[in-house]
Amino acid sequence: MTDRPGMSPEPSLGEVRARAQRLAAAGSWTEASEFLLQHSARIHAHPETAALLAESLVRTGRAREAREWIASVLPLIEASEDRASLRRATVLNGAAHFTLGELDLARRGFTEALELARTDGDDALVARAMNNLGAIANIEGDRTGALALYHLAISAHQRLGNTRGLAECFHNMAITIRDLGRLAEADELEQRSAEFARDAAQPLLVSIARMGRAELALRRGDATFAEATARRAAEEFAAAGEPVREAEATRLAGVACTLSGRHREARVLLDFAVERTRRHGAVLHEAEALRSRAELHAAAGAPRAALDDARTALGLFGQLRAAQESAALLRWIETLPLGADAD
Amino acid sequence: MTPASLVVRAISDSFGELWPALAAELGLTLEMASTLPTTVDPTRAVVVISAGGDEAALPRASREMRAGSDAAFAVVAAEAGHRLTASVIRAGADQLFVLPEDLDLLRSWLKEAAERLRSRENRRSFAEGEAGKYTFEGILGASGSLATALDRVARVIPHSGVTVLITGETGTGKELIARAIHYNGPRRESPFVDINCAALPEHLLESDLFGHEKGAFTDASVTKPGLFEMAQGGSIFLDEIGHLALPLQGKLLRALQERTIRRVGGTRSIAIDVRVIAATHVDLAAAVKAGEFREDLYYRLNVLPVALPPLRNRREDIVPLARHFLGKFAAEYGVDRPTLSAGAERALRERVWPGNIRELRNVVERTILLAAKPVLDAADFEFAPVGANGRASDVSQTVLLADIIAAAVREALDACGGNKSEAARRLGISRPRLVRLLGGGGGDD
Repeated sequence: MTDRPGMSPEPSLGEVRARAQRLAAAGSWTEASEFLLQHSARIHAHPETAALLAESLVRTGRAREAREWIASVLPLIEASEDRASLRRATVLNGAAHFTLGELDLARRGFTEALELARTDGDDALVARAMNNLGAIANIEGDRTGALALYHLAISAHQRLGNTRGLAECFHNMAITIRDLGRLAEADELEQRSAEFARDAAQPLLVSIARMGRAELALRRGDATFAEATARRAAEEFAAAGEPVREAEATRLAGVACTLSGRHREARVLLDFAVERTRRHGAVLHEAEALRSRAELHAAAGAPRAALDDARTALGLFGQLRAAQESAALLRWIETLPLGADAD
Repeated sequence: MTPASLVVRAISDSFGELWPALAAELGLTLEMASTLPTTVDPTRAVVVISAGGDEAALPRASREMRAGSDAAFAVVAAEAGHRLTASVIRAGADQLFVLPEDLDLLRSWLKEAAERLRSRENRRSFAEGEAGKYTFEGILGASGSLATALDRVARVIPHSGVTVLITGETGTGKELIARAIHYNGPRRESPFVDINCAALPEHLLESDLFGHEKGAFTDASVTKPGLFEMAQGGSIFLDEIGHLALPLQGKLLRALQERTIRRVGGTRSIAIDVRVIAATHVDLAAAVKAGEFREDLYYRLNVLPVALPPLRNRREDIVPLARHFLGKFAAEYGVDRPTLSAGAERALRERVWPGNIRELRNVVERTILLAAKPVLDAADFEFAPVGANGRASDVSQTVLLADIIAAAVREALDACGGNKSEAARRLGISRPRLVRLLGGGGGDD
């Protein structure tokens, strides 16, 4: 092929794969996905590169496209002898469904990935699939089932010496234990998560565990520790360029101020959390920030303002189909002394 | 960590341009060998014998390679019939690839082999890191009671098959000792798996410990190995063993006696090579007397009991421990390490510490976070009030039901002036049960 002005020669499949792998290794997933999508027709029958496109789509939040791509390439990958790509595509299939809230299909994907991983001795995937299945069980309210899966995931990560995986698993487990009301135990698990995150040189995971501890402190009514911990986490998230997590940690600090009766400070922090989460389209976090601000208004004797925020939050929870949160918030609204509003 | 190697023994000149590109792509160091690399370290390298055009040499080369090393190795040919494939595999090769058709498969195989090497290296460095965290030098304390416990632990460490039972109040460091036993012993590079027997309902705990076969029960959609299998070669730490239900106690006893387990719904016995370390804060001997814990299992577990003293019985260790936690949390929160005033040391030493070392650690962390001072006074420490029963009355903390029951029993006993029969009557339980809930001690009123 002769080069013509303005036209570059079509790269070979090997060059496509190599370039995409370089981009992926550098963490440039958006660029990797755009590049691979340009060559999607050619890479369709090539398991390794097809799986790489699936991963880049999942990692860049294009779960719907990922799901469709995987559906079209999975039969070809299954027919090939490339077991590594098959395992990868299968777990990514679960991840795409999980992101889209299709929990039954996600569970099926992760379970299939788990079976493939066990057959092939891929311990890393065994651990990851168990962790994901645990997260699904937890979302569905099957807390003990989630714990059983996390135990197995932790032991698999320990076999591998995967400190990052351990940090993630212990944090997930802490959330489940917290939801079971065992707050002291959950705090121990968050501390262990932070310890493994430090071993893995993952400061973001350390801050996530810290935020988990702030939430636990709030639940046991320890506003002082919660505020100090949440403020520190917020600073760390700000430094790491994690605006939504920064807003979430700030919200926790705001709730702690509400509990301590420092309403003016709480207002500043919660206004920031609402504005920041709204700007970034983080709907669930925005709803939570609004709910926290509604609680502040109620504590400050402004039930009308509380009702306004609570209603907005209710709309967002409804949008997310978060039935439990909606029901709890409705019950809370009924307790507002609207007749005696001083606003 | 140095990258793993791709060692290529090229019998012919074919495919020579492939190896540098593949090694670079997979992050492997390329070593071209002029003879068969029979001394290759199987934990550091993956081997390819390449013979495009000279395939007849492959069976012999494979035999010699396998005879000299356990390393993963594949052979690469330009063509191969069934006969050649069968003979190189029989000779010990892990795979045969025909290039260029199988290039993707070769890449995928090499990638997985390299990943396995990396995992092995990770495992080794993880074990080293954990061993560093759980050294005996790192267990602080100069008290006689702790020294006795540690001496006993030191004696059991080299005997990797011996079961250990660790007893002590909540927060005395039972898990720390269990990890020290594992990571300082011969099983250190294999997993340490821990489970809290009080954390899961009986049916889930059974499946967690022993695994289950597909279809064993309604939710068993896949076969799942249990924690005993996951701990293969290493140690399993059964925390709160006193909460294990009686049917599971029988199953655990069989596992300890026969060194085999059977998954739920399974018919096959699976051999296990695992050290069992159990821990409890309840008095197992009293539980045996009350028929709540199997005597045969108790004796099986109690081969080498290690009793950890409560912090109030090792007061000389309190200040050194507090200083240790000050250093740890100062580093964690990025603040200057404060010192303790004489008053602070006295206050720390005089406290009863119902939550033991865990409580001390939490108190110090809180102080570091909230009191930004170079010298900490007694007033800088916030202690949870201690009830008449010697327990912290921090009702905002969620506590185990067993702890609540024990606290209620102690309070009833206090209210009855120490008369156990009267306390039992007021609580509506038998006197032996009350004695057991108090932690054994069968003295008269």
